[in-house]
Amino acid sequence: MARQIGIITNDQTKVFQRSVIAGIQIIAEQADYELLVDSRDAAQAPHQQTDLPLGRLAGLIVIANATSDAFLHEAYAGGIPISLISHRVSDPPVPTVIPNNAQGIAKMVEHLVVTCGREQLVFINGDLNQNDGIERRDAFLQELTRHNLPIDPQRLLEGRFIPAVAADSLRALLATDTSFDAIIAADYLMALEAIAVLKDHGLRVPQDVAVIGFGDGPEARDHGLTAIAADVAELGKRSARQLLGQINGLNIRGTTLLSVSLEIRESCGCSLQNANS
Amino acid sequence: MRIKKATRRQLREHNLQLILRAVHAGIADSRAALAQETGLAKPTVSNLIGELIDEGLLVEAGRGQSAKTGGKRPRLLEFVPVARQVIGLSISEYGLHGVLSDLNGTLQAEHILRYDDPPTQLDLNDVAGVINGLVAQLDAPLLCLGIGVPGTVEADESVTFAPHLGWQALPLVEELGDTYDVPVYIENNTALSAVAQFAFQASNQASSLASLIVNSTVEIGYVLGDTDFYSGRNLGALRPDPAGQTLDELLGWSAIKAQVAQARRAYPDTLLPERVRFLDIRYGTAQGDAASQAVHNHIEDVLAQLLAWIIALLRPDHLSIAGGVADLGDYLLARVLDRAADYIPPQTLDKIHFSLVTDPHLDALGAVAYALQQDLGIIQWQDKSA
Repeated sequence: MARQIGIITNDQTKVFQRSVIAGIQIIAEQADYELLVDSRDAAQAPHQQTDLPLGRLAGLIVIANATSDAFLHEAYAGGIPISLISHRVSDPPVPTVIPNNAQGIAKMVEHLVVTCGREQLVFINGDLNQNDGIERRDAFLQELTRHNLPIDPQRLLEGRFIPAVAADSLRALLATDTSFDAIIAADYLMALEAIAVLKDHGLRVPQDVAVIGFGDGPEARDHGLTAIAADVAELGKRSARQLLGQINGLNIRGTTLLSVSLEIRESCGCSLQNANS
Repeated sequence: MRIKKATRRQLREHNLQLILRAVHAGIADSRAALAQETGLAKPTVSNLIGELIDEGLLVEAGRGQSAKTGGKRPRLLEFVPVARQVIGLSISEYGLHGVLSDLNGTLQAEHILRYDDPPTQLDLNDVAGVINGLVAQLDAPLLCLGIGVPGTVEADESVTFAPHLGWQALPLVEELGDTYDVPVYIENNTALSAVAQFAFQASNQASSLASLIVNSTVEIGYVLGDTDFYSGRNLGALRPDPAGQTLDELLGWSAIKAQVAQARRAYPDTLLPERVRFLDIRYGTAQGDAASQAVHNHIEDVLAQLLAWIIALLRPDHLSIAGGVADLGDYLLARVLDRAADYIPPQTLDKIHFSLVTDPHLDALGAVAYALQQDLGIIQWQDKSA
């Protein structure tokens, strides 16, 4: 029988999940493993039991908070090799792979404040039940302090990695505050939605408001969005390698961090400024 | 002291490193040029190059131009940085930070294990667990391991007196070498931080670098490039004033927290939170908060005196401030240099390049640089002005 690796994920049709699984697939196939995917509805995911045949799997990859921490503890303690993506579980710490969220947010804030000269920043949060959402928010608050900028709770908007939620939050802010000059969104899809809302409101991007998003993809490139490029497929590959290492007998502790880079495009205004100067 | 003749094996290793270093540094890229550069006989050079090509560390990359006197066009040689990978690991009471690097010191992967509270006894399984996290990401054969530790490393490479980690005479090199079957090189973290700065960050004109590292304790790292000398030492027990406090009691993180607590009592409306970070002191100072400024002034004062001693004793070309205190930013550096001018003539200060170092990878990259230097001899912290 073919050797199998299980994947538990929220909605595998979403961009992030699709890219991650594609990365896992590349490494798994090289090592002659098949993938079995348990894809569940995000709202029910953490509470749902898995149908994956755990006893027959060589190992398990769990994407974000697709299952409960209690299940992870139990499975890990039971000896199943596990690799987490964009999630952390401690005591014991299950090996995980995450993008370097602090590095990405630091690059975004540094670019906006130092290079683009913006100081009235708005932040659109990701899902604060997920590791990436928490880390990006915490890093944003830290970077505001580093650049001596005040923290205004009214400018920390709910987004939950859902573009429609981000749009509603931004419209609510615009009803009372239009003095901000930059938006950082915890993912690029929310950033693109923010650009649409700003334009509907008669604000120019980037002249009136610069916009940057975390994460990159074809839509970001097509719309000239300045973005933190985190190679999501690479996240999947690194996780697959981390899992295969455990399957092959390596005792791994801790977190593999994926470095990120800033792709500068039109939405931050700096390329325009450079052209004008 | 007994002086021993080099063995044939040692001589061969030395000559391999000479060749590799010359090609890596771009000094010579053909057999004839390498023979001339190294002083080795041409057959010896060819033999060594053959071994390096078999190992995958060098490749032949086309033909160069003939000499002015004519003759065959030489076959050019190129260094292959992706032929091997190196793991560098920095161990501290805050956690373990590992990096996977190619032979140019370019970061390929990173793996960390953080401690919420410093362990009273470091678990060697944690060390292996982080190394394994990088072993799982290898794209090429592992060349060697470089390990940075906070304690004293003896000549026999055992680690002694790392009180935060509960280590005494731990044969780390032997244990890890047996597990991973590659050479393991170990050195003090402070020394490695200075090595990394000198190898990867210092200006090309610097022939020496001193780095003042302030975290929970006060340490200094030093590299003297043209003699291959480097060192790392803890200064925390020193007393600037014989009747006064130690440097750790003045500048270590516990001392800074105590200063903050005192300032919070004196200025109840302060912006400084109870659970303070250096960033909060920075922010408060920028906002004109009196308590923040009081703490900042204290830090400037002590650092200025320290810098003055370091400059007077070591006369480095490059002097950096690293560790958590670097989070106070450029304003700290400017203020410290202003104050240092009270102790050191401005014309002396003007000859030194100063910097703040906040790179979180530094210790681990230092471990990589150290391992590459020990194993292949290709990382230079020789005199860069030459």
